Amino acid sequence: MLLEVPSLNILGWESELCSPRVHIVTGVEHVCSPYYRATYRYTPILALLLVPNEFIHPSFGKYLFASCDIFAGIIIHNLLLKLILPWAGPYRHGDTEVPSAVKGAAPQLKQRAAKATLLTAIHFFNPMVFAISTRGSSESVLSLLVLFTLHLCLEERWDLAAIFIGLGTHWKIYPFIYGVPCLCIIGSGDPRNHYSFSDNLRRLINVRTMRFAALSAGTFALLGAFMYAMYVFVRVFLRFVANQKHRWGYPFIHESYLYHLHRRDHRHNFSPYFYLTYLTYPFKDGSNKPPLPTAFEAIVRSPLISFVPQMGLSVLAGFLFPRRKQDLPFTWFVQTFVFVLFNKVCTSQVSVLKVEHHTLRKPDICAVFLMVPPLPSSCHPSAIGLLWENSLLGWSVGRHTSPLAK
Amino acid sequence: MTATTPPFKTFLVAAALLRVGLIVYSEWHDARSVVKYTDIDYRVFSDAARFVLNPNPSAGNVARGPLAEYFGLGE
Repeated sequence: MLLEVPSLNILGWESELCSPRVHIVTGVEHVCSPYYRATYRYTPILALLLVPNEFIHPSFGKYLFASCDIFAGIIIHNLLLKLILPWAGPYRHGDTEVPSAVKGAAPQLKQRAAKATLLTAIHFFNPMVFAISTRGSSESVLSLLVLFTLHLCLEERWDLAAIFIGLGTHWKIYPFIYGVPCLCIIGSGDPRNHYSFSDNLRRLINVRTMRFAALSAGTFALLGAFMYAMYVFVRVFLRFVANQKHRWGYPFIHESYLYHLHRRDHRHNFSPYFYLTYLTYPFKDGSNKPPLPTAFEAIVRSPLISFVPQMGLSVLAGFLFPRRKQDLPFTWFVQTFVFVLFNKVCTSQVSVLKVEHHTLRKPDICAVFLMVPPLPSSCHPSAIGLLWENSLLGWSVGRHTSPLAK
Repeated sequence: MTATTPPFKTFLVAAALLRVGLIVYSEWHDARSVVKYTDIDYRVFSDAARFVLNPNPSAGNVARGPLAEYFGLGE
């Protein structure tokens, strides 16, 4: 035995919450009921991806997630090198072209390559990233999807980008917010001009943006319909073949999507709402039931209320920031940051996504910091990154050792 | 910075080796300790993959959708 661990007894909570409809992210298997099983709350594609776990090796999934990490790093490096670093520097209004080569370009390119490598190394050797994927969490797949979508957007391959946004939204619901700045950018003309309100509206709603929206919504609907249909058709088919039942269909809709509307994670939850959730978690026995809340209280206590600031701000940020495609990484970063900040639940996995976007934003963030006089001009980009990681780690350590988490 | 930064491939290989090493370690660790290295989510995914291959009608607690409840489709 490597570690001796005392039996974890979370007092009365454990028996309260061991009902089949509740999913608790504790990392410790509940032993209150022999029939309790953690429910699967993801897209069936993930289960399909991990099917080789049965044939090849039980750790196949971990290797898959780790390789998604590596591919994500390659994409980050590519983006930094080809597109973003050449853009870094003082903002020039209306600058849509990569600045042409100047005298002495070779050492500049070398410096750029070194910068790109170092920034990508922050992703590769970030403990949050590699720990989470080697532990077997599937966040790296979504990170790869989102980064690849960003790559497609920056190359202006909008049709493919729309399809991948649909796929990402099928995987986890929230990537649809990344489509909003894309809509703003697709129909855009020269950002130097000042447009009237009706012009702006026409920029937002035109054939190209409608096509983008239709493609992504269509992909999402198609995938959802396919997963739902597995319930009916495969079942009927299997009934003839093997007299067995399949488990997709409505369970898929329920677990993948509807569950997230009403989930209340009251432990291991870094979100600002954790305490609200902790205090208002419904009790099973009626003896200590609180009095019926007023309509206002019912609305405020509802899990749905958290979506208003979260989605509102995320989508608003999507409309506010993009002027040209160079703004896309920054906009997506702000959207992700806001989304994660106001989320009802915030576990370690979610911070992986913040890191991805933060890496891509490094050059501009450093430029912003450099403009603040007190900061020394030798402020290295990775110093900011280290500050970020320290704050993240300190926060997670603090949460785990706080008395409320016990 | 330019003279001393290794090429990108070095970082790529190092990161890959790091992850492979950790995954191999995780298998060793899980076999020996009560506190697992592997996330419980991974077990959830793996079980789901197993259920895709071998559907088990008595396993788990799954909501029944309107098609099954009202029309008896797929029963």
